[in-house]
Amino acid sequence: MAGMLRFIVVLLLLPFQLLADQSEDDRLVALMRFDALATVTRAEGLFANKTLLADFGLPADVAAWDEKLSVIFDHQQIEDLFATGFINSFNPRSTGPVIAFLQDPDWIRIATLQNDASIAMLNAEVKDASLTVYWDQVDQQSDRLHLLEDLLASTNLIDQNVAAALNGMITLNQGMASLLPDLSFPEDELFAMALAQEDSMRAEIAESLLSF
Amino acid sequence: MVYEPISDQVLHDQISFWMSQPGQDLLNAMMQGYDTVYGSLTYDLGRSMAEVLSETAL
Repeated sequence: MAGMLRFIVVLLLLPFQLLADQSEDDRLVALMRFDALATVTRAEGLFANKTLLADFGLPADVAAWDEKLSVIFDHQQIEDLFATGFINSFNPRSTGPVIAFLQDPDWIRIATLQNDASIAMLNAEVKDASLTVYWDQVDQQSDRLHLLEDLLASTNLIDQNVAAALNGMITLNQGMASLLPDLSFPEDELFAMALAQEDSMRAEIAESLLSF
Repeated sequence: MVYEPISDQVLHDQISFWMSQPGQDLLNAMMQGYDTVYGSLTYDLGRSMAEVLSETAL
């Protein structure tokens, strides 16, 4: 009887636990500011892929391609995908400390700076200026640069970006193959190409992240 | 707009957080978020390239 009672109590409390989890997920998503990140991702996507067809030597109707890009980089879809990917993989053991961290004024300032910098870097002059500052710091072997290298190492960001770039090549190919299989690269050839570019990609990404 | 540089102390604090368990859990989830977004967008880009090629061929 006691066992049955405990079972009933657990069943009655379950919806409250689910509601609590849902509420914490909502709070985390709100604090992650995916809305602002989606704005940046859309701006970067429209900019970086504007000449994608020409880069591949493909004929292009520029206006039609711009329209396709605008649909692909839909703000709401990007925001929803960020939230879904994040919540599906977030380990709830860290909910409390992470919620506290995301409300820290220093983090809010850094996240805002990061978004503003991403938009600013779409301007070639700003990007060139950031590279100049970076190479000055390299020449001086500055403590600041070492600190930034430690920050990147602590987040493993260079490896993560290299992996994302290599995955991107493969995923782009899969998208093409979904409609025109004859035009896509065989995956083993693509893997070999991607791996051959890994070192140069790593150097380029490290320079880009540190100057950023 | 003029931005104030982030202080060295703040950078030290950031490094400490990102190396902690909650920092690693947050980073992992952020990266999964990025993977979800870029996986979907990049696939759509490839498919759209194929669409343009098909339309051009017609």
